[in-house]
Amino acid sequence: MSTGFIFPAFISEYLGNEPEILSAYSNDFKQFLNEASIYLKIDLKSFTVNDHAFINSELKAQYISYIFGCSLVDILENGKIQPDFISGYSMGLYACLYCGHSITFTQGLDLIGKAYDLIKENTTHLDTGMGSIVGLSKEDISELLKGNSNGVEIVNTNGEHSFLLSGLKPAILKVLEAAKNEGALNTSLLNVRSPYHIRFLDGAAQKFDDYISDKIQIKDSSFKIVSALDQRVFNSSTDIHAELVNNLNSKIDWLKTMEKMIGLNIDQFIECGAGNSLFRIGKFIKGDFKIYTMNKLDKILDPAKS
Amino acid sequence: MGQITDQIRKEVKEIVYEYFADECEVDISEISDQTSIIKDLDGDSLMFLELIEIFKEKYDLDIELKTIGKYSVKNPVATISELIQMQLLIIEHENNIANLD
Repeated sequence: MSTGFIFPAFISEYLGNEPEILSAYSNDFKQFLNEASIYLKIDLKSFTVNDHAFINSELKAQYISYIFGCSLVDILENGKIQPDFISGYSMGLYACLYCGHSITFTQGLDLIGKAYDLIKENTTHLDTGMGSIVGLSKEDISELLKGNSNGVEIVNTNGEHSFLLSGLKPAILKVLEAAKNEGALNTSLLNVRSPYHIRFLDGAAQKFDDYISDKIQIKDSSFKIVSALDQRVFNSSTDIHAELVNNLNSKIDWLKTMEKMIGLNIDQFIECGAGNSLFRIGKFIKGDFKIYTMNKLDKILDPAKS
Repeated sequence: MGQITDQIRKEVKEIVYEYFADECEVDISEISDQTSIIKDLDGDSLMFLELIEIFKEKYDLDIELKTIGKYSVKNPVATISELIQMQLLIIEHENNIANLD
């Protein structure tokens, strides 16, 4: 049996009991919240899954998501559960790198904060965002993009019929409306202001590159990483540096990433974060594998319970 | 196009009930035909998509998702019984569901 650890981006919907699940195994989650609050000088200690302030703040949501990922990784590591491969979905890359011991906990916080600031700086005068379309093919959406506008692109393929768009908000709204008319089962504007994974962030990526060179000492990863951008497998610090930079302004393809890992004989994935977004996306990916979410932690740590 | 028999009606109802009980982690006895998929079960479009895929495979259906999407805009589904009814129409009419009122 081969195991992959996969790391979700920031969460919009919690299962509800994540802090309790983690607290049953260690104090890491609380300690990380405290440590991050002190280090960043912002209040993360008062986090609860029902507090919308932590979902609606893009930056806080990223910090919290990262803390969930790191806490779960520590529990798995203490339980001697090791991955054969690791991969981060979008901004889940930071917790993925913590898992591989490439960055420390606080370096991850630094990277998240810096990327956020640079993205904000790079898009100050733009009305940007992201959207989701479920139920159309890539070809259908590409046709809609031709007819509708510049300034919006497909930036992630979650499945054959599930895509994320990024770009200028008015253009995204037009495409979402056209998609609904074309027969999409669902369209929605995501609760983010930043246009992740798009060329608008070329300037931010360049500055992020400089920042990492100057400030972040990256180590080789203890585990092989599968890139969500181009599905290559790597673990060197040089490649990790490049992945961090490109992750801001390059498209990701989660479907191909999962297919790559399944092709590497991974038959068990652990979603290392809150919520169950990767579990749900995984249901539409073909292959003989299982994805376990945090609420199956007891079974992961003690397979006899399955 | 498939003919809807009592057996198919029974199967579809069972699959829909079992799917939501499992997916939403509720006891199947708590689900009824009048249960609201969104309000009571916190259902969403990915669940709808998964159910369509289950029925496409089970009954070897020839239907495009966007045909279902266009139909569901005109005929929105809110309850379990409405969802079952739509799945039966999909099984019966496949892509021709687009020609129904």
